[in-house]
Amino acid sequence: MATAKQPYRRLQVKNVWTRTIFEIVAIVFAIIFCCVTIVSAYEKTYSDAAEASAQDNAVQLAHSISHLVDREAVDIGDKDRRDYVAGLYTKQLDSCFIAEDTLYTGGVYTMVDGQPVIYAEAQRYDGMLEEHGLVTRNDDGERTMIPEMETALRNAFTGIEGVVREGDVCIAFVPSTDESDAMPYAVTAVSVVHRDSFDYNSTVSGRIVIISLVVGVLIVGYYLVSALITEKNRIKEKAVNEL
Amino acid sequence: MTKKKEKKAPNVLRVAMWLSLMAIMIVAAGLVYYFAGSDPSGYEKIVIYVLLGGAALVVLRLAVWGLGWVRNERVSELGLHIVRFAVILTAVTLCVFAMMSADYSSQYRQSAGNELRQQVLAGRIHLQDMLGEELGTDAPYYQELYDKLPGLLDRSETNADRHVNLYLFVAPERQPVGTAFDGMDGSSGIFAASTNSRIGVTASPEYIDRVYRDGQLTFSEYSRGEGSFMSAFVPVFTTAGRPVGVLELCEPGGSTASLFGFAAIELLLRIVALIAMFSFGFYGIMQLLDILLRPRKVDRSCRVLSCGREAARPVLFFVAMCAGLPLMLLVHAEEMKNLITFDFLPEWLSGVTALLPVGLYLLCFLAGWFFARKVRQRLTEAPSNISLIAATVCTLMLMLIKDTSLFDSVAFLKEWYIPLALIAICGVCYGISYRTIGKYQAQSDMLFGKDKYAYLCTALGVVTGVILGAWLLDASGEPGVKVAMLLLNGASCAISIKLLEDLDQTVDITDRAGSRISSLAGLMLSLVPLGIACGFVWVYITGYLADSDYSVTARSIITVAPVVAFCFGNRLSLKSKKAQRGALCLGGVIAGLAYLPMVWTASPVMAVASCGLLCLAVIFMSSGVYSALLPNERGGAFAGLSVGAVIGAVGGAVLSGFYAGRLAILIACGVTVGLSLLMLATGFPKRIPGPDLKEGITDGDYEEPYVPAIEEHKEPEEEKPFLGGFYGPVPVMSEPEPEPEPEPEPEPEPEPVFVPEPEPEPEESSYDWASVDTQTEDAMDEFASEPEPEPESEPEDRPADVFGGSAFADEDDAAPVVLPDAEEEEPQHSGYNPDGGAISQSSEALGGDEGFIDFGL
Repeated sequence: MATAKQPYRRLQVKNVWTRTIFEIVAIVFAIIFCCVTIVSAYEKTYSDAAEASAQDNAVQLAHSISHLVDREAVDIGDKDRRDYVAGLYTKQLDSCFIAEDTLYTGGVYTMVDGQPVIYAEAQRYDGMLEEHGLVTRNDDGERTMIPEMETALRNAFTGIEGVVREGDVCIAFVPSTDESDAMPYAVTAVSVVHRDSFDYNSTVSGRIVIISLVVGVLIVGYYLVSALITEKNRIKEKAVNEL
Repeated sequence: MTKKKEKKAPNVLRVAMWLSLMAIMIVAAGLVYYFAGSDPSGYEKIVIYVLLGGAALVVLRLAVWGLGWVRNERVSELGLHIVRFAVILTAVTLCVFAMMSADYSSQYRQSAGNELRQQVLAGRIHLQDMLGEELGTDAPYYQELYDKLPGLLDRSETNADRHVNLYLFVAPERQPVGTAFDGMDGSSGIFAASTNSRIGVTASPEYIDRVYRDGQLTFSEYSRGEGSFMSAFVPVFTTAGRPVGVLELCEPGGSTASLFGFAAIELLLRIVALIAMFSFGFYGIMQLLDILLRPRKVDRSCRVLSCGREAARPVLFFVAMCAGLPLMLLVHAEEMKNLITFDFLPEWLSGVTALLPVGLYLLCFLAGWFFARKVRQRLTEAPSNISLIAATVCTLMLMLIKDTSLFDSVAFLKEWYIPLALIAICGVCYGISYRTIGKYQAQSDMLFGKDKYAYLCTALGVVTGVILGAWLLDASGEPGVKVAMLLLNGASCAISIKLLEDLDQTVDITDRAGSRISSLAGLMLSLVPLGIACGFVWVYITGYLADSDYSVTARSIITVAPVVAFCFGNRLSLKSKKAQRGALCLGGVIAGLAYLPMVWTASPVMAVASCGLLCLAVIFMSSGVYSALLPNERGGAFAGLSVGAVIGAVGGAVLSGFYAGRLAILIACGVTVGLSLLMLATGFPKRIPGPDLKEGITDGDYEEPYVPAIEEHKEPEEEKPFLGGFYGPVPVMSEPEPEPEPEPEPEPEPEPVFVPEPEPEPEESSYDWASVDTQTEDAMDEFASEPEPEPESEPEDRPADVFGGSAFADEDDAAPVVLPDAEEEEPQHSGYNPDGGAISQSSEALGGDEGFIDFGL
């Protein structure tokens, strides 16, 4: 007949060393996997947040400087005078962005013969566009914008704000209008590069080393405590049995 | 000693109660913080700290319980492995999380400082236009300037916590008395205004004066009063070029956490998912290793533990789901779409091929169903292992897909909740395995308490449905996915109804406590697919409304509505068995149709209609379940399910991308926890005290011998073959070691119920005995030396918990399965359940070892 004695059972792997080795290997694998995944997740989270923040910033900055260029300056017919004034605005634009920093830059576009052209730009704006592939030059030196950028720019000249994202670059196009006239006379573009805002690769290896050390201590400590508890219980049980 | 430990040991209800308390304190702290804003006052901080401290104490209490439980050597190996893994991985991930958070904060401050400097630099151009050529001398000028100040900042998420302070150096004779510019000491000659009326201006006059004199863009982190601030300062000029003041763009220091609060939740979810995946996966692999390395000669002398086909069906359902999901995901890849798109086919036929993934998915589903047939009964154990492995492999595979650029074109493959969904499925598979695979029953009883693991399954079903719904939501624009979702929804409900039918047909539902409790477990199991179906609809609706222009209040109501419906249904009492069963089936049918309005036309109105149907289904379901329960089980069921509801509400709100979802989460948690507590307060359940086996067994003064329960048999006079279900002790002969003492011959049974029959093909069996026994070697030794129970024990006096056996068993389960050899079997098998084959006395199967903690009772 059955008795009520139903002790628990252990796993029946006879070779305890096989089990232990397997367990340690599995733990190490899990830890590495966890670390890599978490780091990757963290990078992605920051990257997403930085991207969203970059867009907000680009729009904010474009709004702030969209009144920099006056309509009168844009409408100057004389080329020399116009270039002179544009040079002044270029200096002013430079002063709007943090010096020696490629994160933020911008320019002002006007419409000439139905084509948007740069009227004034901060120092690094044009180079940034080419560097990130937003503007390409053919063999004749003719510049071509990517379609998304051109569309957004043309839309801005009809009064519609727009944002273009390409790779790590985010460009906001904000129309400049007079209070008296609804149609924009210029478009202010501000670009934000969020690539350099957070790069974790440089620190990941260092982190992994620290993590490995901490984990090693934890694992050793865990098994040590486990063994101590088991031994203590065994001694206690033995004492009870002897009694 | 045993009593002491039992007294300290928590049961599931007590844990649920403590968790509810903890949730209330955390929610209350969140509410205080929410209403206090980013800069709480000292008293508010104290309240928050006290509440969080209380919650920490509860966590500590639970941790002490948990550690005590882990330390107990009598705990199952399953518990040890899972807890060990969870502890290690939690420690590791917390280390990673803490370190990365520190780095992240540092990086954030750096980039935020950069942003502030840049914005304030550009902002002064705008301000220059506002100031004009010279500062005005009259009050209206300053009032107008003050009104325009907020226009310096866009209303974007990035700027949400930022504000502008303007400091103007106004000559004493030009003091704008009576204007808005009265924020600073007039004697310093600086007049200031802030766009944040609550915080006001914070920089010191000396620092402003220094910025003004230096004329440089500066960045500073400073403290003033109870707050800390990050600010960028720049001198401002009139259009005539005259310096007139300083512009400050300020961000309170505490906003760092709030800005990325949801990102942190997402990360934590990933961490939890990873821990769960590895914990479950590791134990599954250990089980396989265990089976592979076990001496085979021992196995041949033993017999297979057979589970009823009830075990296979839900498990294989999830196997099919696990197999089908990656397939469906892959089909959404552009490359795969090209493969199933044929240019030469007419358009209508192309539409058919586009539904190929759905067909394949259903094929998997049907395959699972087929293998679950009674003729495949012997496969019931293998699928449970396969399900676990398949789920784990799928999870790993999808994580690899996610982290590689192979499927970049498929945006939703990159979303984080896909691996989470499969991990949850893995958990569901495992949860069901616990319940249905007899060899785990003892361990699962110990882990979750008798019957309580069914609640766990149900909760997991809800969570899985929520997560899967969130996944499908992302691809809901495609008709194929919509159809798949509808089919999945319907299939889940159909399975649920089918299980309920079986339950009704096979369980003799009487007023006896045992069968009622057994039916409870069966009901809970059948609610898993139903929970999935409801979860689908629920998260779809909330997610849909999150994208629409519905107000936060409306979204919150719809999010919480099913929870309230559940509570309402629990108040309805259906007397007759027919009505109970009818309510459950009707609930299943309505739940299956609940998604239909959204398929018809996805609109807010239809979302409300879907929500209404869903609530109706939940009411029917919950009233059916509630009425089928014994009074003392009702509170427990609610407590168990409310945990799932809370998780579902939170998960639904988070997963569906609720931008303003914090309030919804708080409301959902608050309402659910409140109602849960109300239910517990009005009728806190007390379980029927069963026979206290442990005392009698462990203390040695066991006067009334224990006789394991035997399922009440309809034909007692007919000798039934042994079906392989053990709930009693495991045969000693499973171990090759010789017995230290020969077992006394047992007294003949007054009514021999189980007569062993020879195994037809013992060597062909895919099961091994050692994988299904429930004893260690030393335990077996102990067992061998135990005195046999007295023959006068009456099996039928004990309530029978027969879910594992007869709850879903049918006549086919009575077919002879396998038996121990004649010389090995007779003393041990009085407790097996002839109708189902699964273990039927789960808590008894654990025995009464000294130090045993009945975790679930």
